[in-house]
Amino acid sequence: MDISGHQHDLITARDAGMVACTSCGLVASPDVESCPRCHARMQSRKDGSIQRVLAWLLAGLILYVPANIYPMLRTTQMFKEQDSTIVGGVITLIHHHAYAIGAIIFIASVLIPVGKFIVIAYLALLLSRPHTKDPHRLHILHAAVEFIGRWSMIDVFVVAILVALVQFDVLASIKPGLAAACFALSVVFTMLSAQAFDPRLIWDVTDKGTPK
Amino acid sequence: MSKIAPDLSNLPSPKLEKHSRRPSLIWLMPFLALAISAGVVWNNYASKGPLITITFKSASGIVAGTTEVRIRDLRVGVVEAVGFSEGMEAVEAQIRLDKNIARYVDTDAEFWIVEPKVTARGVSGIGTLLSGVYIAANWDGKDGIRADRFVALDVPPLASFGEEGTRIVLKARAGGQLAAGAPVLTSGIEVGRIGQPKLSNSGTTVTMDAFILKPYDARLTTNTRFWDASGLSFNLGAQGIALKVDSLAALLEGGVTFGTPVTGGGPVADGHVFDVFASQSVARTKAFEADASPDISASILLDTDVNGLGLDTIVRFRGVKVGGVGDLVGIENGAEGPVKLRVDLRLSSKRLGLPGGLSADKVRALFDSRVANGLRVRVSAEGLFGQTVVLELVNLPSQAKAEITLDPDGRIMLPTAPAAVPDADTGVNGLVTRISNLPIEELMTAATQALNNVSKLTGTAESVLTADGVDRIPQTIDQTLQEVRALVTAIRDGGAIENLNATLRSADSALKSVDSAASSLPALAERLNAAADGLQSVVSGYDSDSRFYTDIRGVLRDISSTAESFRSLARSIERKPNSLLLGR
Repeated sequence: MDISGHQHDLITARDAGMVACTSCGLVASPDVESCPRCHARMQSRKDGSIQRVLAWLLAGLILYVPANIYPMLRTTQMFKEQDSTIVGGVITLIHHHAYAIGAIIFIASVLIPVGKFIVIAYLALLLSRPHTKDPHRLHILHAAVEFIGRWSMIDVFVVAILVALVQFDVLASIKPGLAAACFALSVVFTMLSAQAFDPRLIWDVTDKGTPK
Repeated sequence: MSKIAPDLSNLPSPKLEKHSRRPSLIWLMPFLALAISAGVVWNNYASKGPLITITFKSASGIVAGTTEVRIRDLRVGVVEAVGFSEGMEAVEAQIRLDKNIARYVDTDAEFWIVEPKVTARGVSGIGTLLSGVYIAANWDGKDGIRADRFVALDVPPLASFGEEGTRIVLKARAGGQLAAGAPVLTSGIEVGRIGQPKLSNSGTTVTMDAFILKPYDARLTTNTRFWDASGLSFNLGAQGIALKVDSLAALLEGGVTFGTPVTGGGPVADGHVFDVFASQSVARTKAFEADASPDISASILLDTDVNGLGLDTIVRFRGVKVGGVGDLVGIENGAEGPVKLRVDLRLSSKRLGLPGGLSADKVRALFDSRVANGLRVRVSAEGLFGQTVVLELVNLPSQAKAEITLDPDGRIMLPTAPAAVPDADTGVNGLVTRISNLPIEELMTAATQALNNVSKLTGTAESVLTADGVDRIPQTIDQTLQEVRALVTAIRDGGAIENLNATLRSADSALKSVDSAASSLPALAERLNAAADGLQSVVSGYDSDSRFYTDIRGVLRDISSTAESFRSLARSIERKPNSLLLGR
């Protein structure tokens, strides 16, 4: 590959004995405490980044369990109460032939969070010790996780909107279930986890000279 | 290889912070998450009540996860799973009860399915039309022996635990129209309800539980009588037409009414058995007779056969019924003597004014003195046209002396007097004057009025009913009235003739006419009753709110006014000809 052919030529700020500002991108001399341009705190690599990533990730993972076990929505319809979990809701939607919405909910609430757990865990564990993987791929992976993670919130928004809109007393009303709060927290925690990740770690390929 | 940075040799090397191995505070977050999850799980688990199993005959609309268990319409649990019992004999529902009420669920808990029900007294369970059925539960607020397996009731219990009252058992003849949930009425208000009727093993009677609510159950005594109040009672007899309509609900689904015609009964405990009589009059008669049960036996010997004497013949003393015929036995009196008829009488000491519990000797002694004073038994006749035979205990001091004898079996044989059956020559003298006193005008007016009412009734009824029996009623009534008219004419003709023989002939033909008219009365009554029955079955097929109902009510009103006319007509006929023709 073209890029991989150039990987040995990459010089990180750290390689160059400099410190890059994550907020404005300025490369400054390593002895500055804060960015001369934007006054952001300057660190060559975030302190305990991997630890933080793993901690948030674990928290998110733990909360993801009750989020899936307990009902997300409690629908009261004409004296009839129905609890639906995330997966249960997806199955109901598919039974009602709402395949598109079912797919969206499934992707946003199951595929994305699970994928995110796996990717973040993979990155964090990989980068906690010296690795020889292609940093460009890792970088794309990280960018994707950061970008897509927020879409998990779709389910929480769906619940919030439904709860706000569907309040017709006896006829029909929707209340958020226990899982809604757990799920929202889980999404928040995984987002914090992705944010705690210092992408500059990706470029610290230890064995610089080692060819692929 | 093109280096991006031109000169890197003299750059200061960055401070490389050593990775701190000290665990960061951030690790508290997973524990926080764990705590939250654990809290959620615990909260969910702790709020869960116990799981109980209820066995039903059929699921009839129970849905897992949806069907609720309610007490007084308050949700206390939900069905978690529905499945078959072992051997697929029944349906079992697993029910998760709410935690706070779970401790009251003990062995006396009752469960049954509530479905929408439309009855004459209203619609119940309307909510279940939309929400599906629910399981109603009932238990008291006391802790008891805990149980987790129950069998559902087929029908709702008579009384919920909050209701106080008396549970009684009603025994009715099979073939009544009583249904579970039918009202128990007294003085026209609903004071209780009837449970599921059960046919007895012999198939002749039906028993059912009934529940009388608290303040009204005080009115129950051992002398209380229940009678069928299945709405419409229609009775056409010599006394006129008796039409009685109870509450509409009772009309549609039956019901029983109770009353206490005789005072002095004791209080009633739960489980007391009452008979349900066919009508109020029967119930009252039975009530009055209950305290006058026959306890004295006496017999008479009759020389001749008496037409109409049977086991249902009653015995009167000064007009009061004092007993009946217990048995009729033909007796060979010697080789060539005529066959005599021994009639065993069963008399009530109470009705005769005698103390109860007398021995046979005491009875004999008492009768002895009376017989010496002229007490005799004679065959007599009563009724509209003297066709009913009765036995009379009469004081006839002018009779030849007689005394009580004992037959070989030790029966007390009372002396008899000649029969007092009215025949043609009694009262012939008075006949003419009485005929001329006959209120013919009054009779005619009453008859015409009745006819008018009948045609009015036909007009209304025809617009509503197409039942055959109903159609025939006016014709029958017409026919009867024509006969009545013929009778009246005959009587009038009789009054115009001076010749005694001719008078007698006329009286004879008048009697015949009256007789034929009278004989068609029961048939007419039968038809009217049948029509009323048909009417009832037609009515029960309709909604109580429909126009049909209003029409029916109009018809019923018309029937009542017709009945009134008939009654006054019948009274006139009864009052005068009775005394006229029978001489008493």
